[in-house]
Amino acid sequence: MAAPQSAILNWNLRPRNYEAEEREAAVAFSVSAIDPLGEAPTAKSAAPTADPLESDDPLSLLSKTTRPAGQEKEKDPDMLPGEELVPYLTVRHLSKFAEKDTPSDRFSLRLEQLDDQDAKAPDQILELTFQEVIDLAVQRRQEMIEAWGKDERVRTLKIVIQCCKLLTDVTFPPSTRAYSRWSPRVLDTFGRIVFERISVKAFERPNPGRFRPDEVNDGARETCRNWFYKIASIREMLPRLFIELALCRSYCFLTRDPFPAVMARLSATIRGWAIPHRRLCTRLLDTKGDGGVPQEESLFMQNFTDFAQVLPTINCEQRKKEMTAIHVDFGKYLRVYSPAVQSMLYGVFRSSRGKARLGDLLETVVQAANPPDPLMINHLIELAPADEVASLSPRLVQLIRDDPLAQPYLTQQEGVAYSYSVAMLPVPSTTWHNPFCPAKLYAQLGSQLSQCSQAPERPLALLREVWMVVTEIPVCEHYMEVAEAWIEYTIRWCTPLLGLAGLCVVGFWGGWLMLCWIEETTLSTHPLAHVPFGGSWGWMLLCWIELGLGAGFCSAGPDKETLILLTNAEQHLSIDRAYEKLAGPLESLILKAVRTHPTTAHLLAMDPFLQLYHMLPTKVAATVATTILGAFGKSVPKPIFPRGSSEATSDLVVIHAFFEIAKRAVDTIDSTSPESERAQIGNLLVKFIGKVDCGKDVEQVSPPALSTCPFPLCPCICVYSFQTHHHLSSTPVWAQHLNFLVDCRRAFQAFDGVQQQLCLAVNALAMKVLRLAGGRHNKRTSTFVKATLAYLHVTIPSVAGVMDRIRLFLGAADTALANGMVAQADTFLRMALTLVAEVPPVTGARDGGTLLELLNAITAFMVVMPGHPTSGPLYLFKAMQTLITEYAWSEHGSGRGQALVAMVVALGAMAQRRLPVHYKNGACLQEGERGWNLSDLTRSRPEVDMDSNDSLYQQEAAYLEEVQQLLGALVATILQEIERLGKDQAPEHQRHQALLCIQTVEALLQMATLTPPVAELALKLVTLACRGAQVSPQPHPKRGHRIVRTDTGAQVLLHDESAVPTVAPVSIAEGDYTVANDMSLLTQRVASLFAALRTRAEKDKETAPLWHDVYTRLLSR
Amino acid sequence: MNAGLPGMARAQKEELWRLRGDGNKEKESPNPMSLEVRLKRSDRIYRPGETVSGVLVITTKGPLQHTGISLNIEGSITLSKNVRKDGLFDSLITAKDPIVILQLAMEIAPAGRFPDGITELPFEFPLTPPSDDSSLFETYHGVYVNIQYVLSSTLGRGRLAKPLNAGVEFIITMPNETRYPVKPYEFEITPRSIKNISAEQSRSVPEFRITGRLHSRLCNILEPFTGELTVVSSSSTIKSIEIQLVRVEAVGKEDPPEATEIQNIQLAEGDVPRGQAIPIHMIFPRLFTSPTVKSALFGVDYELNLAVLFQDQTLVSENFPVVLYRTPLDPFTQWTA
Repeated sequence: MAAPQSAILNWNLRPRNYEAEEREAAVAFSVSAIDPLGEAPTAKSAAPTADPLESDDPLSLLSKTTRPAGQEKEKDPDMLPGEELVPYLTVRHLSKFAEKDTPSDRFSLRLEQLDDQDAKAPDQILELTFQEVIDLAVQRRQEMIEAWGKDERVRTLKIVIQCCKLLTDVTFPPSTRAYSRWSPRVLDTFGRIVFERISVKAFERPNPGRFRPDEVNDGARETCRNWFYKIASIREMLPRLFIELALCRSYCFLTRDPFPAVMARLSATIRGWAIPHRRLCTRLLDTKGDGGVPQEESLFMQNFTDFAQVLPTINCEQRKKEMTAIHVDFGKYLRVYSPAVQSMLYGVFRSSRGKARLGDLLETVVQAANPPDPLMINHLIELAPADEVASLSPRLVQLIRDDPLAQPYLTQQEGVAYSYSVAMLPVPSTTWHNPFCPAKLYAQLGSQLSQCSQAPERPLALLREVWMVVTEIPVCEHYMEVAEAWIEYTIRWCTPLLGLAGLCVVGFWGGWLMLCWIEETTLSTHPLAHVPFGGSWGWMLLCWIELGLGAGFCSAGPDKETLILLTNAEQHLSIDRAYEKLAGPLESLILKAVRTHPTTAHLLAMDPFLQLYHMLPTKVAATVATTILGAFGKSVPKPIFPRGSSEATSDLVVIHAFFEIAKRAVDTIDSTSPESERAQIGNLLVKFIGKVDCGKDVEQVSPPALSTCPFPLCPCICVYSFQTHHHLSSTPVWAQHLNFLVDCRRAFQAFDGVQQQLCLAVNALAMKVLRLAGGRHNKRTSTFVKATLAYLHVTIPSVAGVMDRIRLFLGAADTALANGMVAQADTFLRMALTLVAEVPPVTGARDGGTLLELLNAITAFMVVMPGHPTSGPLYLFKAMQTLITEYAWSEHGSGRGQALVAMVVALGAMAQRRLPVHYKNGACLQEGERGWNLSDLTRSRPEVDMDSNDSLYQQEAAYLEEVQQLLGALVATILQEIERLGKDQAPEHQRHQALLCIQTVEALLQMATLTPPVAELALKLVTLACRGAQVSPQPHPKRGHRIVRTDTGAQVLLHDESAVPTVAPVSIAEGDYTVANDMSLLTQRVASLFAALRTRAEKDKETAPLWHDVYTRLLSR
Repeated sequence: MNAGLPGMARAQKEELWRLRGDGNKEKESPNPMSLEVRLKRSDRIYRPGETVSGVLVITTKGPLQHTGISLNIEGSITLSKNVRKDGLFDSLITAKDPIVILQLAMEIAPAGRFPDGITELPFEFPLTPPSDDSSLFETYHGVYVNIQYVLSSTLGRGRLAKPLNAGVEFIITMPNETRYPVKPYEFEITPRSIKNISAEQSRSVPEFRITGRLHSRLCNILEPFTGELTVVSSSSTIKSIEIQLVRVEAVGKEDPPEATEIQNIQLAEGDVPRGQAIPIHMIFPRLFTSPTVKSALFGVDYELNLAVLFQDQTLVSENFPVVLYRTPLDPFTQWTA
């Protein structure tokens, strides 16, 4: 390319109508109804669902889904044996064959009989530790498999029988429970191998799938029948039963659908098993079933009813004595039954598919024993669907209350209702060690009720009834358990809608009354107008009554019950410093409250909540603080909480509380903390700062009476409810907000993101004050804005990233200029420009995008920035030019050129008679939005625009000359860049050259009218662009379309209307995706350039025929 | 009154260990030649009037020269004397010869030679009583009475070599086409209902009351024996409740009938809850029970004992005579009920 001549550099700038251009370029976005970034419409992701990978075993499901949260320390019934068994190993030996009476004799006799074929002597061990019993079972299983492998069926069966008998001979109840987990494994294995063997006989494969009994051949049937004859002749009841259960699946070979009848018979057989805990093991097995046996509701029901009838014999004095005799804690003994009862009930509720009514089951239990056994009630509550529990909650509460265990303190309580006098209650402490004591039941009930989908009937009454008992619980652990369970219930259901409605009604009436009082004319419309009140004084009296009522409602607030509960908990915990031992439940209580409560801010405004929080140990408090912060970040505004309906909070007490909590959270971070943790807390803090707001509206500024009023309809309440803290001090709210931000800066120094957020918040604050001031600062506000700018000036340099700093400085300059502080804006802008030099050099050809964007933003901002009185109108542009030219751009990219093109466009704007944008003081305020208090002031003065260069220099010739000169210099540099890129034949350089050409021509198109040399330049540039983009323009035969043919033969079809190619060529030799992307973008750019050229050529045919000429010559090449 | 129960009945024990059709298979003999009788029915159960069919399987390595194969069918009743009364020696001396009730012989193949490998020779014969006035009996294995049917085959191999023998027992059942109506039988056991104790003894018997019902005392041998019992009250702790199946065999007229325990099934263990009905469910063992028989030579009767054992070793037992019969139905449709 020839050396740039002055003619081609002399662009004829044309006047532009930016608004019209913008309108033309605007793309209509259709807003889709569904926000893809919004929350998914699923109602509750936290609803407990069964893991599909989980086995169907009801017990393991149970242990996952239904364990109450407070019982983490409780041993899991399905835990691995070793974990639970350790305590038993050292503490207790169980006597396996210790009984000296007949069973032992019988056992050894039988063993002799059984072993007469084996050489093995009968077990001589008299005492086994727990682990040994388990080992024995494991060993038996192994032996069984081995025996089976050797085709020794007889020995296999013998081993299984022995295994079952072991179960009957273990006399220590807790161990039975563990052992009963092991024995089934042996049995299941046995059942499986027998089934597989018969199946192989019948179908020649171990897993036959579904089949009919008549498909089974005689041999297999005979074998199968033989097995059943065998096991039917086993003398002892328990082995017979167990083994039949294990083999149950094989009944398929004999009859069709045998299970209901068989299972019913087997569960009836269990009735003959007297010793309760053993009965339960059996039941457990029975209901657990094995894989192939379908289970029916009736079966579970039968079992449940049977068990309910037997239960009274378990929970009796005699049993207690027995257990004491063998040193077994009765509570622990009762727990032995839990898995079985859970299993049965789970079966009942699952298999009935909602048909089983909790009420019916409850009646069954009550019929069996009155008062019913707490064990049963506990599990009924635990396993029934939550909604059913809710509907029956009054009855359940009554049953729990009637429990004799609950009586001692109930009687005490008479006369001293609601008085908490623990020391005086002579409750036997043992009462509370029962694992199913009323406290546990209440806790269970509470946690179920808080999960139900709709509110129970009269939730408040229920809560009161329960709490009357609960508050008298003398053991703080138990009390906390209940409180923890019920806090969720209270928050969810006891937020009285009634109170809210009352508030509305009172507010409405109050408003009306006040109106009536003020304007006597509307008096006649009031329903009470005809009641003689004695003139307006009567009305005033009414007003005051209303006021009082409203105040009452407001102070009670929707969170009254929560407050009471928290206060109560706090009282309990502070006795004898009980909280020191109960950090776990306390933490859980607080977390639950925070998670359930829709607006964390309200929670924090409650004194007892904060007191409870301060009871936490330091470390726990810090982690809880993180959660609270998180909850604050995402607290969902709910309509029933009127004060929380705005996302931001302006309550200083709440803000202060949060600030303290945030500091606690920050305290957890030290140099050793992982980066992710730091980032998490940083994010939370950013959210928190973003949510703090000095107040919604202008009213805050001057008479602060009607502050954040929840009901615009009822001013009388608002008068009461405004936040007094704001108005007691003379400092304006926004100043307090700034103070808060200063505090934050100090407290959260370690978080870079937070510092940035603080700068943004300060910017926003300054702009808000500008708005509040109605666009014209008075002395007070102007001082304040200066303070904010000073804040920014100090804070921004401490931000780590250079780019971030530049961006923040630019924002600060923007704010300053908007507030009419030119000097500050100038300083900020200069700081930003200085920083550009600090940006690390760009290395890759594709890099530098962010910097480019930033530079473009600065350039755009400089358009409105007024010139300097001494340095000249364009001194910033000149500085920018130097910066861009000097900056170490990548040699392979076109970053410098692109930045310069942006400057060219900006200069084009500078030469306009009127700049496309202006800062107009008060421009952000629209008519009618202004504060009523300041309206007089603003109205009295004319609005003054912020002067920019257009009004400062008024198109002076010297000014325009300067612009033109600078423009020429810029274009010259751009052309040099293009030339430089053209020197290298590398495809990457070619592409960048093409891009730069396109951008230059686009700029030219937008802002200049052509002279012949410039037209020549444009033609050359477009040709270069086509070459770089590997496309060649061709006229399309069809009228109104143009085809751009690429070198590889792909065609780009141009539509007149959209000027967007319908076919994008992808013809890349390198096969590199990014290159392909680049190329297709380039092609599109070329296409749209052509479209623009065409429009221009057609539109400006008269005014600028040269464009038409360029276009036609281009096509003809 | 009885102190404790005997252990497991012998018959029961045998039944337990003899896993017929599923037990240990005999190892294949190393003998290059073998003879085996295989019946078509795997359960080997036939009824009079039916045709018994099967094959003789001859396995040989190399050709086998033989002098002919014969098949003998023999059914016999063996009655032995009461061991306890006469002494073991006596009974051995005076053992009666078996009474043959069925005798058949047939030639399956004349002398010749079998080629190398496996040869199968089919056979069949009708199962009919030898004469019109005599009848067949059901297969029965008891202590004093034994009725069995054996099918044996002999393969002669000339004078020098031992003949090959093979035999198999087949079972004859004689189902009764008529089904008897079910007639429930209610019972009640109290200290007053105990017969064989003196007044002093009766004072030491704990107070109790057990009621129950048997669904029928006329039992189909293929169906389980069912019923239920309820412990209404008991002053002493119950330790175990069992039901015992007893067989009473009578040989001849002069000897008193002899009772043998066949099976003892525990129904309940421990101090069972009062008022809950405990099911009685017992399956008649296949090998040791047959329908009740009364004939001139011998008789087989069955009884059930319901035994309640208390913690203080007191045993109370109630006796129910039952009559067994057999129906031709497949039992497994009823088994599960």
